[in-house]
Amino acid sequence: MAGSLLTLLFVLVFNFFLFRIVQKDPIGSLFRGRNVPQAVIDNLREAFGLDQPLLTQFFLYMRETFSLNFGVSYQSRQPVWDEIVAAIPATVALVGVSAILSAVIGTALGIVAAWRRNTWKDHGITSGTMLFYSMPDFWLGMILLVGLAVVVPLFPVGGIVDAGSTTTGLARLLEQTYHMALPAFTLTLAYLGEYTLVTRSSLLDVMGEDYLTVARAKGLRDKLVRNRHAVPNALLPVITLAAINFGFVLSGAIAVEAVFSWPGLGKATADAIRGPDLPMLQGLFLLFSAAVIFFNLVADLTYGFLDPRVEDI
Amino acid sequence: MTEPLLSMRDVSVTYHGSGGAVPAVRRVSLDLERGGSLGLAGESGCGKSTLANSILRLLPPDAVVEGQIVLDGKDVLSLRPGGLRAARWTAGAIVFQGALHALNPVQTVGRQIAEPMLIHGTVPDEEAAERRTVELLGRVGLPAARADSYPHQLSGGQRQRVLIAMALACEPMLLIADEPTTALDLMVQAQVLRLLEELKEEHDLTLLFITHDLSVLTYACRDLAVMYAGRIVEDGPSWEVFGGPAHPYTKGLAAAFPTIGDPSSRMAPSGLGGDPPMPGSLPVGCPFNPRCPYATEACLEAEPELRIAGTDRRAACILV
Repeated sequence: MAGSLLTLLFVLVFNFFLFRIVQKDPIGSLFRGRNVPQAVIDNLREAFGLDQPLLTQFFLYMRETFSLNFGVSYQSRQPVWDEIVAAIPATVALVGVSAILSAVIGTALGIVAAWRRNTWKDHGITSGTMLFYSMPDFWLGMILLVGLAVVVPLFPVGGIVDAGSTTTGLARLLEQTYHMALPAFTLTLAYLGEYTLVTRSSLLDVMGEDYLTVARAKGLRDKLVRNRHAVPNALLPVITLAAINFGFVLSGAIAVEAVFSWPGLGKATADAIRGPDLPMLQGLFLLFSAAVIFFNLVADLTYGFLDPRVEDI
Repeated sequence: MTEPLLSMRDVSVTYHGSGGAVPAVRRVSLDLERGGSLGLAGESGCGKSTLANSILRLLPPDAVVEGQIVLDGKDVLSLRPGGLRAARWTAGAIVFQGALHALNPVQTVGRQIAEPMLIHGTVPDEEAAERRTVELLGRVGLPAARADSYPHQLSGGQRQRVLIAMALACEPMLLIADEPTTALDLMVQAQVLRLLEELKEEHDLTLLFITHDLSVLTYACRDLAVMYAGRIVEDGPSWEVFGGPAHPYTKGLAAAFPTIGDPSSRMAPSGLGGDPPMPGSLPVGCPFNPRCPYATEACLEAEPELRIAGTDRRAACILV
């Protein structure tokens, strides 16, 4: 718990200096060499506090961050926090759904593969999920986009609603879901393999355990041996994996969001990097780190609940 | 004479792994009368646990079992899956070795003891199962509160007691004890042995006891069968076999125990030299001949069958 907070503080300090090293003159790059009067540039520098010495900037940054003021975006001139909050729902919906789907389906496939190891089911599941796992997710996204939105136009090519759409209420929700289908499918396929492989190898380890022989000797059906004795023990590492992946729910889909023009945090990050929009990136990175740290904590707590051997953390 | 509870006829078990066929048990025949007790002794890898697990068909799929196993009138090897499940834990139950991971680490031991009762319907409901679990725990000398413990919270001796209570859950006729005292210290070993003996009397159990420790078997069992390289090489009443072994291998095993009060037996242990053969590559002739101090030319020719070696005694050695 204290460790989590300390990690977060480290991220806070690290973030500040990282971007100062990456980009010495953010205002200059904002205009990309266009002929802008020096006075305008100086004004902007002053407005963003970039005329102050580095240490003063750092203390200002820390003070403002702790009072939950994350600054103003260089690009949109809107408060960073407002920009981020506006992009959160789209990302949480897309990556959240994909994370849950891939965890559930991937784990189920891993269980089947391990329990029927070295059969055609196992080979099919393992090689199939590996195939998608080894593809870059944005590339898989592009292939699906071309295949299922352009060549066979089953799905929209991008965005969260059609351009100029005026739907409201349930109709709008349906429209958004329809737009989400393809990127969500991409992400689910991309994440699936990880769960399948981890579940499969973890279950194979457990399958050699004596308590499964004991369970069979007691007269349990094969299915009960699997579900009651093997799977609960095999799922422990999968829970950790899932928690870590859920930490990336906010940040994990930068490339895929960019491919599908999905207006979430991933696309916001891609746009901010192009700037570079330092306050925006600082805010996003802080949020991503906080999410990862939080879900790791959740993983530890869940582990303690699932495995009686883990007493305290 | 009544029909034996367990009867094995020419039972062979062969593992068909990636390294070819490995014969772990070779043409073993034995009978166990109701209420009787038989000890199976032998070094690791001699096939005794494989033989024990074949009785409830608990071997991995790559193991092929041949011959005939009749348990309580049922031909085990030809049972359908449903019939096999029904026979498991009711006709015969196993006391597994507590030192192994025989208990599920994420379930309370109470649930694990109650599980077979609920599966086989020997109790009307969960409440009755809980009551009986507490009763069984009490019988093996554990407090009722232990039902809520997880395996890692128990000592080795307590885990072994839990496994004994679990084996008794459905009141089986045959109790197979597979190394139940291994990895326990001597005091606890003695307690567990006494407990098993008491339970055998109380519940009129038939006991098949497996261990590498000949002295334990002599204490716990009326009859003894010594296995070597997948076969029974000697059997007979425990004390006679232990006291006057007929087979050179049994002699070696019996001699490995120091005589208490005789320092010379401790100073010069006279156990067996060498290692048991790999089941995949058995020596030609009698499989014991490379380690046998009495081996002759004739021992290289053929593997001897069991022959009469006294009243109720048999041994597989040409010198008998």
